[in-house]
Amino acid sequence: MKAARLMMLLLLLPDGGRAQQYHLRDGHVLDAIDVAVRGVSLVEAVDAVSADAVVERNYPISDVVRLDWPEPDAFEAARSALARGAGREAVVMLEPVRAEFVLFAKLPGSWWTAASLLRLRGLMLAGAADEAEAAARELIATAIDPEAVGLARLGLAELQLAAGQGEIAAAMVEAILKEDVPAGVRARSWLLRGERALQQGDAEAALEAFLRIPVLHASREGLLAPALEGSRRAYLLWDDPARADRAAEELRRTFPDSPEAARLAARPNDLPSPL
Amino acid sequence: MQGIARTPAGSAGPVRRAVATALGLALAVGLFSNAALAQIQVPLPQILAEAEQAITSKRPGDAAPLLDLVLNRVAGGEVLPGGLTLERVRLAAATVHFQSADYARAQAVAAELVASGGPSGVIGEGRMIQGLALALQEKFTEAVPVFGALEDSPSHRDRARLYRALAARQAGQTDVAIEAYERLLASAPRDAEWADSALVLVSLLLEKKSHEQAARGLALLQGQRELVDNVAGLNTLSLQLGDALLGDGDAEGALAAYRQAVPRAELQRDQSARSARLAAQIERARAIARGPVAELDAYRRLVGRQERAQAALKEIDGLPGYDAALYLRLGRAFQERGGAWEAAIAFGEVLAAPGDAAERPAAHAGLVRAFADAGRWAKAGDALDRFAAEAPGDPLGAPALYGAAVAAQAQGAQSPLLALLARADSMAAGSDYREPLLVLHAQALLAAGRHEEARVRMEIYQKDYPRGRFEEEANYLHAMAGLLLGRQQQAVKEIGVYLKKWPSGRFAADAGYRLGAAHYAMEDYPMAIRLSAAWLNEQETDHPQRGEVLALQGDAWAGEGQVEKAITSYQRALETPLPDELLGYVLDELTRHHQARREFAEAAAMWEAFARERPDHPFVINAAYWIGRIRVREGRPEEGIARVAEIATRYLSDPARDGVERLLLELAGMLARPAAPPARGSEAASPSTDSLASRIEALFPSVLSSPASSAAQARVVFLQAEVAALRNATEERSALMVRLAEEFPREALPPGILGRLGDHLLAAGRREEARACYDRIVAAYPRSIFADFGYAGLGEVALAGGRAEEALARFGDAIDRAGARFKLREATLGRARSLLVLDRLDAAQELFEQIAANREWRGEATAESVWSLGEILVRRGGPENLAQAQAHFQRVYLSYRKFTPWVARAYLRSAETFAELGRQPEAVATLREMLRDERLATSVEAAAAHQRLAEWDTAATGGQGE
Repeated sequence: MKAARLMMLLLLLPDGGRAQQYHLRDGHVLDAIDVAVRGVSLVEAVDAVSADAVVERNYPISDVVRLDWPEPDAFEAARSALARGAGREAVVMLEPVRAEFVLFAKLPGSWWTAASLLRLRGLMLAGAADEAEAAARELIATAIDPEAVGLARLGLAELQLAAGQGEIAAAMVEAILKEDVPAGVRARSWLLRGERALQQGDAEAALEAFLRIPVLHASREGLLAPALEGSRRAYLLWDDPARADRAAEELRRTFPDSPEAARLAARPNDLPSPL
Repeated sequence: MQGIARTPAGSAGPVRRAVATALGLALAVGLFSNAALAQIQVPLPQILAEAEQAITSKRPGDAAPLLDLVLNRVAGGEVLPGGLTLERVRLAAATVHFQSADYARAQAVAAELVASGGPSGVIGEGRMIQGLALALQEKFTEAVPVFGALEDSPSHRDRARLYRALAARQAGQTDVAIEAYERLLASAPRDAEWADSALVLVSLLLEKKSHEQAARGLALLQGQRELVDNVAGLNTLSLQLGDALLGDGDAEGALAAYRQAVPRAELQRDQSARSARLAAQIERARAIARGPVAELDAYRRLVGRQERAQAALKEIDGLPGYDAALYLRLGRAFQERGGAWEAAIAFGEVLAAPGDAAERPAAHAGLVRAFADAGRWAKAGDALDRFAAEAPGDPLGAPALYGAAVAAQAQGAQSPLLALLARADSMAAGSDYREPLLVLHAQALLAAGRHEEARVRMEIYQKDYPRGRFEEEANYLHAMAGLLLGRQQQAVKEIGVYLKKWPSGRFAADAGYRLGAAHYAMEDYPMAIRLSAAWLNEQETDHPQRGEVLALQGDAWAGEGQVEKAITSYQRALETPLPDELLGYVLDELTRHHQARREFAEAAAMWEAFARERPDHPFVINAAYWIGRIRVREGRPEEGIARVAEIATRYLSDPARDGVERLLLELAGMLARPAAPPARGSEAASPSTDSLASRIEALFPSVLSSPASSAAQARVVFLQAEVAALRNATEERSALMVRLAEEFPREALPPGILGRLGDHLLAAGRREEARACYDRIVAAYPRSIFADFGYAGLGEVALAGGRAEEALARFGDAIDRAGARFKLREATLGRARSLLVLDRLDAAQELFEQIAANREWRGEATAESVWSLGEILVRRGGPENLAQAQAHFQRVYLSYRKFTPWVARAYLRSAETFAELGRQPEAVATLREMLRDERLATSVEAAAAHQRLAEWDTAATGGQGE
């Protein structure tokens, strides 16, 4: 008897790291480490007949119904690059992820859509309007997640606004707001509507749009900094420097590392261009 | 998982294992008597093997008596097999008893284990079982110290803190529980357990009314919402905490709490997703629920979390006005924090939802207040009207109106204040707020110059509230209104009554001054002088009205013809702190008297001293203006020009110093004027364009000799353009304006130049460039005296682009926000035009009538307004309106012939109206008369007239031709 083994009963099994798995239609689960993507199949090496020959089993990719994959490491680096304003750098980091998941773009658990959205943001940051438009249209055509499709549509509107086509951008945003879109898309639409109103010199409409974020979408923390910065500019336009200062102070205090705070620090007395 | 004894893995089938187990049990405890047991002693290794088999097969109930047997025999002196210690057997026994739900026995065995000492890991496990077993027997008070002792074990620390907190809470030891949770949250990994613990901590702190700490606890969950399984519970706690903090006056904290809550639909979606996740976790936990003790408890707690989440969701589902209540709370918190704009959005959300939520009246009231606090007066008025329409007589209506009126008064928004108070009679009837609203209304009417109405208001007050809270104020305002109405004698009497009743009243000093002013107005200058002298003797030397009284005294001395004494009084007034308006008046009076006495040197010296002593005061520009004029009057224009240029140079580089443009306009006038005639009878020589340009450049050497700012350079070009305009050199001016447009970035141009440049570009059809100028004004110089150029210009651009609503708003901004110092006519006309485009005929008519009646605006604006009034009548239709329209059109082409575009339109519309009235001969005659006017020959209306005549002719001849 090995008495020490008794204690094993009391030990907790540690959680293993998240697997990288393909889930097939028949319930079969394949570990990514055991298969290779070849053409339109997943190929599993079943047995080695000799040094040069192996027995393989093929699974059509169309049989894959779900992926179970941890977030690719490239995402964190890409987000960091985007936060720094290094859009093109982020795009380069994300291309391999997109390539890896492109065959599974429409499947639950695939990271293609998320990578493509980040890439779209990177292209817009890099000022590559044509590429960004193509990326947005690709997302709209391919993604199945309504939030991703909505964000891509907003990306198109944002591109129009940046190109001085405010009327078109406004029409696109209004169309989105009239639909039953996910809350995240709705929140971002208000941001864009605020920018458009600022472009038109309509401070009241801009404030009504920007301030919907802290009031009605406060849990979307990623949108609070741009909303605060937008409201700061709109308050200035409304000739309310006290409230503008308060918005600036809140931005600096609450989101000191945001690009908006950095822009404010660089140009505290200016009215930055909307985009 | 491994067992306690070696058995051939997989060799025993289910039947054989069952038999073996049964035998083992029989051997151990059941079938044999003690005597038999003594005779047939089953070896301990075999019993242990049986126990292990039972454990492996997840039958802890079978293993428990076997291990108890082992413990008994060891207690009887038997020795355990080699390598196995008593502590480990006790631990295994305690575990299986716990798993079998025999908590009393588990606790007893674990207590023995802990008491006996041993390796720390084993003792730690023993304490865990002991504590949990006590807790499950509801012996929470005893469990607390057991878990407390376990906190020292690094491997058990977090769980020990959690269980200690749970036990302490159950034992009613709230402080201990809070302390344990706080320590747990500081050290434990951030997972769902952690988030659940944070929720419990917040709830405990709320129970203890430690709101600040509770807020800190909730703040821990910010950004960790993903971890929370019970989001419905989080919502409920957030609302409770927010309410508590708002009650404490901590609006910021309340807001942070309320923002953790989400609307019902989002919550339901969110909770469903998390409940599904929780259900999967529970399922997994159930599978290992016969595993280690801690896992068993984890399973129980998962189930508990799910139940709590379902209960919280059910509670929220049962609240019909949940969303409305949430938004109302958000609105209040934002409002308390000074976030009027945000508050308006939150209140608006309550009102945007269909249905008749109980929160609607409060949301209406909040919305009115929020709009007012943000200075959004039109919206405040609309909100009040909607409130009154939806809930007439609601008790919150009058306080909402009062709050908005107080906000308007505090912001000095006179017109909006009056517009709001116009609703007082209907909204505050029968309310306690009627009394202060009457006083507020009288004050506002008085400030607006509507003295008679103010007096009437106060008479109503005195009648309805003879001993009211504002009796003194009502009496005083009543007298003041009379004074301002020019009823001085009556005012003197009423002020006397006031001073007799309230000799040391709030308004006594002002009343004394007004009494002097009343006598001055009655031209009783000696009495005005006596009263002002008495006032100056009686009141403190630093009384804020001292300067005002000295100025009155100066006026009275001037009235008496004692200018020298008047000048002395004015000069003494200048030594007191004067508001800008009075300062300007006193300076101007002194200038006037000095000029009348031909004391040019004194007047110039006064302004020179002012410019020297207050170099940053806005009136320095006035100083330069007067110095220039006085020097011209003295016959020393060159000196004046040089001095004005010198003062202007100080500010040329600062685009925000918008008074410079006024000075440049004055300078342009001085420069454009022909030089004094060289000899009697000969004509003044007009300077050449080149000489003027050189002269202007010479006036501003710093702009040319050093790298000057773009603003300074642009101002010199602007001056040249204005000089050209005054000399009617249209092309030259146009060329200079083009230079301004093309050589200087918009950011460098001051608002006064941007406005004129925008207008020039707009007139030239360069709409987008004009818009850039106007945009820059409103974005960068919203408080400039030239801001109305920006708003009015944007209105023109919007109207030209067919965006009448936007145009209406921009023209409104030019008047309401920028004060329309320069563009009142254009903005008013723009608003009227926009309203006409929008077919809001009544409002358009009102404005066009105002414009047509304004003598100062007589000209093209009048012609357009009269035509537009005719157009409005045509749109209304009907013979009577058409006949009246006809009169308007005729008035245009008869009385305003100078303005050919409107004459052409008027003829055409007149003819069309005649035709519509069935008076074809008059229609034809009108068009023929129009076509005789050669000035109109190339107009589009003339072409239309030809076409109409041809059509009517064809119709008259039945399509047969002439």
